[in-house]
Amino acid sequence: MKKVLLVIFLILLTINPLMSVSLKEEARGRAVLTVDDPAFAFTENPALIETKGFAFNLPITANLYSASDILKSNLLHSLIHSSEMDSSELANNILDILRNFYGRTHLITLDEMLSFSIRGFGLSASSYQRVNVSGGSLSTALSLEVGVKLSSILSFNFDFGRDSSLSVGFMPSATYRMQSSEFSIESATNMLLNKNIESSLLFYEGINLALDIGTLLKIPYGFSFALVLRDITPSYELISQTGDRISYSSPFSIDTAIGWGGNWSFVSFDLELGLRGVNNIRNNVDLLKSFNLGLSLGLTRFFEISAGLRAGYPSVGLSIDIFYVEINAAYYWQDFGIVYGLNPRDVLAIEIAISI
Amino acid sequence: MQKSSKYAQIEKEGTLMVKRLIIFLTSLLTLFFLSSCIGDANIYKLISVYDNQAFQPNDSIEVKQNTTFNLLSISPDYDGYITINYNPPEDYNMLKKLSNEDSALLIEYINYLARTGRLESYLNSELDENTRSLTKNTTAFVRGIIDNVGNYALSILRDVSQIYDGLYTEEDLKVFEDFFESLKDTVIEDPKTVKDYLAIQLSLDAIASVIQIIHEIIIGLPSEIINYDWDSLESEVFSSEDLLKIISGKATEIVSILVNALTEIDMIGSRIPGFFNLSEIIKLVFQGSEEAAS
Repeated sequence: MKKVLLVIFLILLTINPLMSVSLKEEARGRAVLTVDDPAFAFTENPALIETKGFAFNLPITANLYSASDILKSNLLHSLIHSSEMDSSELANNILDILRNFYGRTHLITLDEMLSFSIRGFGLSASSYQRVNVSGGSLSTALSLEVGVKLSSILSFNFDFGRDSSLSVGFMPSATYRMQSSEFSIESATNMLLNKNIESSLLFYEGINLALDIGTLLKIPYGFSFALVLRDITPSYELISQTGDRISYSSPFSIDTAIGWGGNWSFVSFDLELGLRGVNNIRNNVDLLKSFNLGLSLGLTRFFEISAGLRAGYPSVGLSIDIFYVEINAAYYWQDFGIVYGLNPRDVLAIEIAISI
Repeated sequence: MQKSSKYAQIEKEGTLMVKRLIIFLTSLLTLFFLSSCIGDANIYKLISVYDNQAFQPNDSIEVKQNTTFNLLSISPDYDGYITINYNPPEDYNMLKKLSNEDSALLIEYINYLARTGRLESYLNSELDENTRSLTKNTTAFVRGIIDNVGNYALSILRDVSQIYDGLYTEEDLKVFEDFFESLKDTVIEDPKTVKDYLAIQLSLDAIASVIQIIHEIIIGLPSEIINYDWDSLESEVFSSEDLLKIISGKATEIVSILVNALTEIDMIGSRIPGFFNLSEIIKLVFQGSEEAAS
C-alpha cells in the first residue's frame, strides 16, 4: 500500500517533462538486452519488462558532449576573464572554442522518463531536449530539438522450470519530434536585415510510429539469449510551417545478444556480448560497429561498476543505489563522423533515478 | 560424517572462491582493455579490422578522382558552379573547388590525424611523380587566377571607397593587396608534399569564394547559371550606384559565402603550421586598427 501511495505521489510530481534512457545502458556499451532489469525494457528489449511483480522507474539524465574538448578549451576561464582580455585575445579565444565543434554533434542533451510495469504490462512516457551544434570556427550554428515518446509493452512469459523461461514482449510507440533550423551568423544577418525572426528560424515537426519486438530466453547456469526486432517502422517526415520537409528513416535492425550472470554472496556479475543490426552488416567496419560488450560488477546492493565497448568505443560507469534513489555517472564515446571513426565525441553524463 | 560435511563445506567455499577470482580477473582484464582504448578513443588499431586506405600511412600520395575517400580527391560534382574559361591545362579538373561534403570530410580527417598524432607525417608525405607533375603544371594557372582576381577585387574596393569618400585609405588597400600576395606565395611553384598540395587547394578554394562574391555583386544573378570568361568580366560596365544596390540586396549571401570560405580555411589552416588562419588575420586586423588609432 505504501508503495502504491508513493507511486501516485511521484506521478503527481512528474507532471513536468518525463524521463528517458538509462545511463547504465551507455556505461555498459548498451549491452543490456539480456540483463534482468525492467529499467531497460522500454529502451532496449521489451521482453525485459517485469512479468511477476511491479516496477517503477523515473530517471533524469544530463549529457555533456565533447566534454574533454570543452574542458581543454578553457571555456570557463575565457568567460570569467573575458573583461580583462583585449579584443584580439578575446576574439581568438572565442574562435578556439568554436573550432572544437567541427561537424555536426550534440552539445548538451537532457532526457527524462517515467515508466511503470506490472505483471507483463507497462507504460512509459519519455522526453528529450537537445542543443545541437554544427559547423566549426566562424560557421558554428546551433539548433534545438525536443521530443516526446509514448510507449506501451505487452509481454508474455513461459516458464519451463529449472531456471528456464522464454519471454516475448511487444512495444508499439509514438514519438513526436520538433526541431529548429540552425541558427548561424548567416541567420543572424538575415534576421537583422529583415527584422523578422520567423524568416530565419524554422521549426519542423512530425510524428513517428514504431514497433519493437523483443525475446529473452533464459537457460540454467545463468545463461540467456536475446533477439530484438527494432524499429519496424516506415520512414517519416518533419514538416516546417513553410512546408519544407526533412525525411528520416530508422533502418530496421535485428539485434542479438548472449549473456551470463549470477549472484554470489554480496557480489553480482553480468556479462553480455551482442551484435546490433546483424541484418545490416556488409563488411568488417559494419561488424565492428555492430559488436558490443558490457559487464557489470555489483558489490553489495548499493554499489555497481559497469564497463562496455560499443562500436569500437569504450565506456565506463558507476552506480550508487540508496534505497529508491539511484545515482549513475558515465563516461562514453559516440561517433558523429561522416566516415565512421573520424569524429568521436566523448560524453560525460549524470543521472538521478527513482527506481522501485 | 562430521568430517565429510566439513570437507564438503571447504570444497563449496573453495569453488565459490575460484568463481569470485574468475569474475575479479575477468573484470580487471576488461577494464584494462577498455582503459587502453580510451587514449585513442577507438580500437581500430588494436583489432586491425579497419583496412580503409585512408587510415594507413602512405609512402607517396596519388591524386585520384571518384574514389570513396581520398584526402586529395576532388569532387566530380563540382560542375559549372563558377566556370572560368581560362584555357586551363589538360588536367584542370584536379583543382576544382571542394564541395561542402568534401570540405567537411577533409576537416574531420585533418582533426583525426592531429588528434592521433599523425598529421605531421601525413603532411610531409611525398606526392607521387605523376601527381607532382600534374600539380606543378597547374600552379602557374592558379597563381594567374589569384593575380587577376586580386586586381579585380581591389578595383571594386577602390570604387566602394570613392562612393563613401575615402572609406578605405591606400594603406587599407595595401593590406588587401598583401593578402592576395601572401595567398599567391602559398601556392608553391614546385609542390612536393601533401602540405604543398593542400596549400594550393585551400588557396584555390579561397579565391573561388572571392570569385563567387564578385559574381553575386556584379552579375546579381545566381552564380550557378553564369558562365563567363575573364575578358568579358573585365569589360563589364557598371555604375557605383548599381554596385551598392546589388551589395545591399545580397548581404546575406555575401556573408554566407565569406563565413563558409573563412571557416574552411581556418579549420584546416589552424591545424597546419605556416598556413594562414583566422587567428592571424584577427591579430593583424586589431594590430592595424590600434596602430591607426594611435
